[in-house]
Amino acid sequence: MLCENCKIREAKITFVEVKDGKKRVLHLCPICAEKLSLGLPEKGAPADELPEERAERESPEERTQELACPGCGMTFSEFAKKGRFGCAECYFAFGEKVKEIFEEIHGSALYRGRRYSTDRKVSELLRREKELEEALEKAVREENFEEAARIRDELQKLRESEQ
Amino acid sequence: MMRDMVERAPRWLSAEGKFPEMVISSRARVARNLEGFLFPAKLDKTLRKGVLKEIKKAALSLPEFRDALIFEISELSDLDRVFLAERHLISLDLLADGEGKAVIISRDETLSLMVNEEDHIRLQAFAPGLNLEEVFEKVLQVEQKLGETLSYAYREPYGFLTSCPTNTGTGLRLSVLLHLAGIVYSKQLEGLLRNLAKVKVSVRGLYGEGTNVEGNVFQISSLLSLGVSEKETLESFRDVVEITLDFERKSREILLENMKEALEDKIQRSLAILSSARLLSFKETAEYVSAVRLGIGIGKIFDIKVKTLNELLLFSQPAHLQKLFGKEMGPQERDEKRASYVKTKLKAE
Repeated sequence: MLCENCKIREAKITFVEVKDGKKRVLHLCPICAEKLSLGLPEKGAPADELPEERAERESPEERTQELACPGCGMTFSEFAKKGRFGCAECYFAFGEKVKEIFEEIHGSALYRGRRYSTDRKVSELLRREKELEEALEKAVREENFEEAARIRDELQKLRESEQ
Repeated sequence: MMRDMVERAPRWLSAEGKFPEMVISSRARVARNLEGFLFPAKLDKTLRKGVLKEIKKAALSLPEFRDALIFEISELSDLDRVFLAERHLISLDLLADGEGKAVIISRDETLSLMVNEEDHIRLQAFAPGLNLEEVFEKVLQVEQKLGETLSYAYREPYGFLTSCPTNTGTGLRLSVLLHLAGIVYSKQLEGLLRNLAKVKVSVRGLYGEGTNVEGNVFQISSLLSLGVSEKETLESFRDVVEITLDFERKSREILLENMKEALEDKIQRSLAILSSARLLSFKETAEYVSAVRLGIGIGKIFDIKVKTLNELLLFSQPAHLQKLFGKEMGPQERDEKRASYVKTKLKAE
């Protein structure tokens, strides 16, 4: 479970807060627990906030300045809220902030595992297949049957080569 | 297919490994994603199914997955999903519906490959007792073989890229299910937790993240995947487990020195209740099984096998019990059937 305050680190501490006679239970990481117990302001969005509410809370400047991943469109605040990357590109789209997060979680941002070669073809094929499927659908929709037949043949060849 | 799994326990509960009374099982898992695809939560349905097709093809070509069981989550009933989660074959995350999610399980249930859970690939290896080396070797070996046909998302300087930043790097996590009744009974759990927090491991309940501790069984897992090599993860985690087991042994000695009669009374009473109760909740069953287990550990009970207790715990879980009796049952009926199952099983010893 992720910390309900920063939504980045793992929650390790159950924090009970009594405010205005009401009890509130929070699952927090040690860093946020310390901050909250010292009465420092909470950062990050409240756990039950709706996207509209967030938009209202944040000024327009803040929103336009936000980093967004070119791969999947995820913004940094969306990442901070969910604590999950949307795709491999997010790692590089959010720049130094990602390194800082790794330093906090792992005490390091450097990979020390065994090396892996990335020269493979499978995902290439799948992507091509999806492209062709979409083109085929479009050709049929536009009643361009000559083109559709050509794409269908190409798709068939591609699928055969995959088997 | 699932009928094969009902009535028999998986190999990792066979109590064959080292210290089976204290270490129920060892587990290693790696998280991987395929290059060129968004991570599962962001991936559209068609591509998710495409990813599943590719991973399935790669897995089924390996001897480790010969005659494997394959379950597509969207095709399973709620009961079947919980059944697989109770067996630790799928995570609680995978319980939620979603097309293109699946699990591939080796015949002997020592390997499970979750597809399109939080990451495209979550490969796990299980072994009974303390056997971290075996699961470590196995999971990395199969991961490498899969990597010969699949292309993993891997970039410098971070290594393997995962959906959650807590898994980035090696994507490797080692864990053990430990029975720590001595530490709990001697009220030293807080001390243990304080010490474990310093060495970067997590302590959780029976089913991992966000679950309660039942029957004094704790899941302890390694946490770091950046800044450490796979080998270093294995070595440091092994040390943590050894230290924890030593702590448990010492706690038992203290109990025997200071409250021998009370401890033996607790063990024998627990066995008596398990053998004769008419109604048993899962929580109670887990507690009494723990005491009997400790009885075996300190040499007070001889005629019951650890393997039997592992099976009792597995089949006492709600979904297992319902599958075993072949019908859906409410909590009250389950308590009744659980008690009768436990009684019969112990009588057969």
